[in-house]
Amino acid sequence: MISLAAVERAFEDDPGAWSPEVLAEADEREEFPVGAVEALDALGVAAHYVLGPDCDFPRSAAVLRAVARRDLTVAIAHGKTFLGSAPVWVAGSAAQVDGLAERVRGGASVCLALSEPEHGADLLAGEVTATPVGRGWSLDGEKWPINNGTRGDLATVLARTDPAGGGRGFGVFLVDRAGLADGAWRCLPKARTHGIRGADISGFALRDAVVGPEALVGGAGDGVAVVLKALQITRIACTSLSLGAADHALRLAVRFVAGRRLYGRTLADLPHARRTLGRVVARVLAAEAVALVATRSVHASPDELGVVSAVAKAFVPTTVQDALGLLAELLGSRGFLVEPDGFAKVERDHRVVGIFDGSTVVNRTLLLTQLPRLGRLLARRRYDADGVRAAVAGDLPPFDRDRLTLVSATGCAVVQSLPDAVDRVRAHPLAPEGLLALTGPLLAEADAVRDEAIAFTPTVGGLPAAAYRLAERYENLFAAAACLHRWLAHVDHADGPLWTDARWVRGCLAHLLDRPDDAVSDALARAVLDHPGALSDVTR
Amino acid sequence: MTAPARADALARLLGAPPDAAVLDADERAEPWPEGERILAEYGLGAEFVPVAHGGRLDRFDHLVEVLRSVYRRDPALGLGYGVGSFIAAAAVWTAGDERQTASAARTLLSGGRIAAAFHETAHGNDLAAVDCAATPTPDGLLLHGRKEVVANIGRAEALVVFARTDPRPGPRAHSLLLLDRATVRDATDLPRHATTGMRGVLLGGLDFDHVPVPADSVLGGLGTGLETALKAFQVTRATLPAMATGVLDTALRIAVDHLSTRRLYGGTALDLPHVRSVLAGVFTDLLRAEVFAAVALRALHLAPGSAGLYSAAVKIAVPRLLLDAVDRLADLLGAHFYLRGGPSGLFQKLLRDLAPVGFGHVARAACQSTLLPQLPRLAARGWTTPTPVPDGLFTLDGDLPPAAFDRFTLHAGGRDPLAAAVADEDRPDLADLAASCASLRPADLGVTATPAHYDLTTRYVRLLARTTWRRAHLDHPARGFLADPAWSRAALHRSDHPRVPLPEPLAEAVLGELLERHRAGRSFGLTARTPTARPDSREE
Amino acid sequence: MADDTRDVRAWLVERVATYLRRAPEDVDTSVALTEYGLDSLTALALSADLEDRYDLELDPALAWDHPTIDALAAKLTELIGARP
Repeated sequence: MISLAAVERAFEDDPGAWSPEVLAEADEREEFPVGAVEALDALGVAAHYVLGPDCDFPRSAAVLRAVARRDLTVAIAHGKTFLGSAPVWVAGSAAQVDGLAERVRGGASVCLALSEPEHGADLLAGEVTATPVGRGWSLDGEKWPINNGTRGDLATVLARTDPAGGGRGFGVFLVDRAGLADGAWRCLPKARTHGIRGADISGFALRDAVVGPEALVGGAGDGVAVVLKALQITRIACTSLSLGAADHALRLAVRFVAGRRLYGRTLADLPHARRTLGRVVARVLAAEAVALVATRSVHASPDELGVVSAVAKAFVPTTVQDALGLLAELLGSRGFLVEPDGFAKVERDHRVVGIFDGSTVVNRTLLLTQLPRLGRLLARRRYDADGVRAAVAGDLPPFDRDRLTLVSATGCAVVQSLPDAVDRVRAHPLAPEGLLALTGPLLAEADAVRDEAIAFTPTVGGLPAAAYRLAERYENLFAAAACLHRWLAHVDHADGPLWTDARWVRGCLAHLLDRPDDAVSDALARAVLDHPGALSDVTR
Repeated sequence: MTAPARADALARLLGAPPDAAVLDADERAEPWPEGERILAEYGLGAEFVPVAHGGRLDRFDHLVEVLRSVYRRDPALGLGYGVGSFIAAAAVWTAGDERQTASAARTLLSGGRIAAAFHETAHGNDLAAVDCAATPTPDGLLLHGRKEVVANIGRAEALVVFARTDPRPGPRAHSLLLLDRATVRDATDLPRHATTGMRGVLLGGLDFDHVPVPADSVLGGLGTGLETALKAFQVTRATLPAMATGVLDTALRIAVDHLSTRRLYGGTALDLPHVRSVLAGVFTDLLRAEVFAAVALRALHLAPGSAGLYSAAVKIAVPRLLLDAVDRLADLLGAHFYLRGGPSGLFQKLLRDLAPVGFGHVARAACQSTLLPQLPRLAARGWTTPTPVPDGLFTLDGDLPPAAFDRFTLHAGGRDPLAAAVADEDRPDLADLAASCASLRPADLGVTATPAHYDLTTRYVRLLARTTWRRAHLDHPARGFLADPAWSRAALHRSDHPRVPLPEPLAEAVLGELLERHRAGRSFGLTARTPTARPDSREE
Repeated sequence: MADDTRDVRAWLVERVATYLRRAPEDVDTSVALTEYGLDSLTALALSADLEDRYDLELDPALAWDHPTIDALAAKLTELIGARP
């Protein structure tokens, strides 16, 4: 399988497909970035989209991040095959898995077809039907908007197998477009979108689309469960897209701040501008900590992904979008110009990450339905310590899809281990005073969230508005725990300016606890301005 | 506040969104032709000309309300057709002699444009660094250099150019020139700048190659350019963000249209408490922005010596309110925000068009730099021996003396009538702020001020804004929503706890007003009466 | 056994009523939970509550397969009875 380093080298070796001018022009003209997508195919990047016992999900996520760092539209246009094939990886038969793996490695494009024109987030409102015919099924209805709805060779389609619907009323079908009768699959028009303008966001209408029994993934009533499990993994994959966009924007911002002259100085000389940059760095590092721990959790604790994926998909895109908002103001009119390798495109493109594959609100709702139990488990301080260790650093067990479950019985080990992580930090000889000072407020916040979570009841007919703030605070606890664990795991052998005085983790906690620390923000900004590799010292 | 009848008349001429033609023009990155024709027919230029010079400008709040009718419809039309001319004209009314003002008035009254050629890409907001030079010669001046990212510079009948007239650094090194475009030979049009929002605005540049210009083109004497600009900006800094509330008004309307028809989980999205809460918060923020701006606009008439404080404060506070609010609406719209077509297709354009409200014209950070040096004197004088509050400052419906441009001062000299109206509840905060400002040294006040010192301006602006919300409620006649205690409670809650949703009964009270206006097709801003619905449902 | 079922059912009625923001006496145990507007995700939360209340390991989709309180109570009673 192609390595991360080889993918990054390829960007430099093939300037044609990857030139900022070519990509900007495709964006302006709303053309699919064919050259770059073909280049990724030629490199065999799609092999990273096959998820099985011998996969390395964090490595695959890092490859996706590297592509997104170069161009988010391309990453989304190519990465859709991972989204599309995920239901088969989590629930397909051996024959389905082997067959699809071969197709994916061979460059076939697979799209995930959940959305319908009138029902975006509400899976159970889907109207596409699957009616038994002979031994197989006939599919009818429209799927739109779908990423790669026109260019897809295959689609995983969620369809109603029981007219009454409900949790057991849907099935997932792997539809090979080439195997359908003429006219059974009709492409629907491309949606013109705010960002990712070149991506193929379209859809298709199925009419009497007859597929054999081998197309059904799982049982005829398993569709919703299969999709929910697949989404646990794809939502975590989405965080790579956000991190790539953040990397890209930070690179542009650092260049701007270092080079822009104003009032007889550079912007980097203005403390006010440095603080903004430092705050951005803290947000990005907090998002990264969540994404990296979530990504490793796919191997380390698949039984908890119902919580972890909701936290990650809500926290990471939101936090990165927030960081991009700060950068937009810092860059001013420069960030508003349409230009090759420009910030404006990154900002527009990234806004889609918080929307697709379950929006932030959808994920917070999902988290809230589990929150009372999460509160109770946090109070008990019981968790799988080995799972947490593996989610943070070191060797990973093979991915085991059979451990995926809709509701985590053991809650969220990362959050439940927060009090213990604080104890370890307090006992750590390298923990500076500035970090120790944040641990008290952090524990107090954990206690408050725990109590409110226990008292919370997820009523039907829409959750109360205040609950969404509670979900956000739970996400912040996850992020804080992820930061502390990563600091503990690496501090003994890490160095670089962001590690000095635990700067990066202090910056993250200051952000998460809303206790601004100008000195730390300044240090973070100086670190990334003066040391180009500073951020990768933390990523590890 | 009541809108002048002509604001309603213009709104009727322009029709109601959504309109495919506005989106089409944006796609083509061209001005909306029908809109330009309507504004020409209406004679928008007269709005920028004081009554004394033959135009219709008598009250700044009425000017804003007229332009809101345009911004609600198409922000790019508002900026591209009108506001550039107003920025230029404000400098003429501030410093021009009789001949110059007559000439500018003639241009605008006959439907012509004046381009405000201040900006040079290399210097951004740093006017003192402007390089474009007008070198005095025996016959006049020789203009040499470039102006960039200037609206309508390629098609304006006249130009106001900010140019260096003395090579030495300092505040008397620049002058403003009013030029007849037809007499400017040897100037080359620079390529147009493409932007991600406000795409229909023709942003261009001119490269002057030793262009001879007459000595009598100088406004207000050689070396007065910076002073004139800073005085004229006191008007534009307040009026431009105030106009931009029209963008949020329409964005909110699109959101309510969509959410009240969107079926979700067996009801409409508008049934969800979270959705209701967000909408109530956005509506409150829209009114917060308009009330604060309205008081600052009244101060331009009633307390011109201190108005610069409030204009800068509006520019600091209002864009943040608007940008955050439109982002929250985007979250509610989800995938529908991201689509450039369909019933909500205008929303993404509004989001893009709103972006420059923060950094455009004069960036928020530059306004903080304006306020910071004034704080020590305000603390020592204005907040201890209060300046009397002018009659009617908070009576938004009250009469005003005619708009004048000759009474603004470079700094307020410690006079702060608005601070004299700070409520008892906020007095301790003001005292605390005064104590912090008293210890500021001159070295703390420049562009290299620490972020903590910059934050003093944020605290000051917050106190000013809260005062306007309270007093606009107390001084409001006993009808209309501002008279409702729910308004001031909601406004102060949003200020006290920006991340905590409004308590449900309060949110419902605010939402009730919003939905009633939506049903009746009235605008959501202060005047609440400009018709905004489509002709078939318009109340006549 | 019948008594156990009543206990389990009573507890379920209480719990479901809280979710539905209704009085327990307004919840008909023979009506499908979805009829009351209990969506599938909230149904997942219900199985988590049951696990915690009865210290059982349940299929999270239990409430999808046993869509009324009566059916759920019967199934749960069976599972509680089968416990070692």
